[in-house]
Amino acid sequence: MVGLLGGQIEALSALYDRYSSLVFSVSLRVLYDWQLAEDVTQEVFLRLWQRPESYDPTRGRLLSWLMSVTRNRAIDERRRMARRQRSEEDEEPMFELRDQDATGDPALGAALAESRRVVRAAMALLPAAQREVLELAYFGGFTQTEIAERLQLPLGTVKTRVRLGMHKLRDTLEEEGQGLTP
Amino acid sequence: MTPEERDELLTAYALGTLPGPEAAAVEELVRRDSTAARELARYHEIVDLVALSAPLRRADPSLRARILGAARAGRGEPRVLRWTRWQIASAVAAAVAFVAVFGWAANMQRELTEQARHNAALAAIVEANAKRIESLTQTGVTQSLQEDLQTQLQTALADQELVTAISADRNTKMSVLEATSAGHGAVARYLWSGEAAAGVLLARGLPDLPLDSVYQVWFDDGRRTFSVGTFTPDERSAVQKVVRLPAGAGAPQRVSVSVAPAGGASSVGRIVVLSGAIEANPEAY
Repeated sequence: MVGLLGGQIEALSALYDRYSSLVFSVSLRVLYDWQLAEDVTQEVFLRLWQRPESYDPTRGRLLSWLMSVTRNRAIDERRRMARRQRSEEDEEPMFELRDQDATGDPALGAALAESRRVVRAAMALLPAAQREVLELAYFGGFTQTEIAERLQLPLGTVKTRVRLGMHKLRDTLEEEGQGLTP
Repeated sequence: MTPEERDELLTAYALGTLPGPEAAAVEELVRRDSTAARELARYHEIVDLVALSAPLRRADPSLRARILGAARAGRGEPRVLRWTRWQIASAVAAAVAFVAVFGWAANMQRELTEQARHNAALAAIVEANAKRIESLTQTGVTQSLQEDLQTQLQTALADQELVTAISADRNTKMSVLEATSAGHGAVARYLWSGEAAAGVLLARGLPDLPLDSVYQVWFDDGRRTFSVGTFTPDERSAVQKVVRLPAGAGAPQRVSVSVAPAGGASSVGRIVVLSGAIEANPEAY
């Protein structure tokens, strides 16, 4: 980050190598559109380059900031596209996303790769109904009311599933000693 | 408020799924309750971790070069050019114009994210053209190839100048072209500048072409439909094509891409893969 503040392109290059696959993957998971996901990835890294001070290390870790900015930007884009297309059907994924390969991305480093493994395992342990509402909320950017409408469930059921899902996720991750790696 | 209700609010707030009034209530709660604030911080951390559950995919390798190229242009870091002397005058003129325009655009980027996308797309084309020019100038040129290479170089430089003009036009419009059933999920955008009387077609995921076929680009100016060129996608099934408006033609209202026999067709034909209207009201410029 110091290099980035000093305008060193090598610093941006190193950050890109380390985090780009995560940024791109989150964008793609939200948008299901390669081109738009690349656009969002580009915006996130150029924003960091042009305004490195927008990341405040005292308020959290860089990965957390990157994931939050990426998710928010991708959801904004998704809503913009939905407004343009005015079709709920167009919000549905057109294909199933899977990990690119079994080895993941070597540039992530061992710690991040381990974090991914633990988080994915924790998500897999959730009951499907709880995982679904968490994914709709996080990757879909839907409100609880919207989720209830989409799933044709009472709002109270959605709230309960979100709470129980978050608790179970928290408990599993805490058992694994999982925190965000810088 | 029961402990469950309180917890529902905190988890939902961390996920960003609460509407405004309830979100404000949570913010008030964590201001006066340090335990709630700590719980919310932990939930935020859990939510951030959810991002890691997304299936891991790597972006196209060219994205790295595009981002670093745009970053260099945006902050004025010198770019390394290894062109031979006789091309430098014209190529650098186009590049300098681009850098100047991009510098202006970089300021706008901070305020207009939509424009950032346009400029990123244009920067990608300039980058690709620069590589094309560079490869042409580094090729071992024999006498018989010289004329052909010079023509290609002039086309590349002319494209570069047009892209610069498009990026400088504050009224440039961007349209999303929709894939038809024959388009098999291809994605495309079209940037059109009335001032430059030209546009740029950016498409990815184009279906494989039948043997001896090409893609053909069509404009509809409201009076007639006419061809503005053909192309074959690159090895990634993508294309970045500068499209010029023929003399005497009206500004396009609609852009389509069809499959045509090699050499092009005289009419659109049956197999249209992409189509979209050019917006009357530009969104971002």
